[in-house]
Amino acid sequence: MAEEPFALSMGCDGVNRALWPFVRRVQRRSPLLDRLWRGIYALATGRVLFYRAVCTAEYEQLLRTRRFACLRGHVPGKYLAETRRAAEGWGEWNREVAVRLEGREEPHIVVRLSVPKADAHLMTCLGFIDGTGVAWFASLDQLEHAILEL
Amino acid sequence: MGPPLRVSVQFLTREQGGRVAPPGHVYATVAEFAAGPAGIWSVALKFESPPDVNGRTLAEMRLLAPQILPPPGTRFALLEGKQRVAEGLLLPLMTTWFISSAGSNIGTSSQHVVSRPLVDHLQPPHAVVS
Repeated sequence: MAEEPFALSMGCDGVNRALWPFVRRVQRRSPLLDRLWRGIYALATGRVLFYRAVCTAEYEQLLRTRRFACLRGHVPGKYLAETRRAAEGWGEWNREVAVRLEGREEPHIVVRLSVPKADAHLMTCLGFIDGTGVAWFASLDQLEHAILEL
Repeated sequence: MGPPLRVSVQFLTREQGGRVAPPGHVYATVAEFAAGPAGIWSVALKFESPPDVNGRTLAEMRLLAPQILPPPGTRFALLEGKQRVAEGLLLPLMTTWFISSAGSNIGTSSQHVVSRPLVDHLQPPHAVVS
């Protein structure tokens, strides 16, 4: 039986769950509010929010295992965005790469994850890149304690 | 997305801090250019063939940012996070045509184009920001 995706929001408190649909709507409209929410979330929970655009195969793998994984030959880590809007921008680019370089349509889904501050401090910040947003790179062990919201 | 650029790429060995396994046919990561646009940029590469025994291959590369167009001859490094995994060179159009029409193998053509180690000419990868 297919699981309810929201049930996979491991460890999220009720308030966060209740606010999430509202926050998602606000994030689409204002990057500033997005950053403000990120700061409040970090202060309140001790965790840092990130976003990542994943292809359907990665999304299905996340639903199945609830952990990030890397295939052989792929980048041994994950690129993350600070804002939903930036993740959507990179997701759109990944879709375009799949169309132009591989000749296939690959829709992307933005997932939200939170990482303990201690792990976030170990991640690599790539700065503001591509004119799109601030990007981070995390190895798989740095995402070991990530809480996914799918 | 930017226009297609022809590049030669040399993957670093594991001992040099490179990858454990070569990437697949299409590889999306970030790159740092030795000249031209400063900073790190998202790139996608489509390899013409798997890397040879020396880790060399040719590829079509595209940048996410269409306004960025580094000139031919620009050296770059492919990064995975802060880790440098490959070095590359943007090929001039004539070189690309010559390699294609001469039918030379990738190892020879790359050797001809890349005459010295790239790593000395590139800035160190960005530091970890806590």
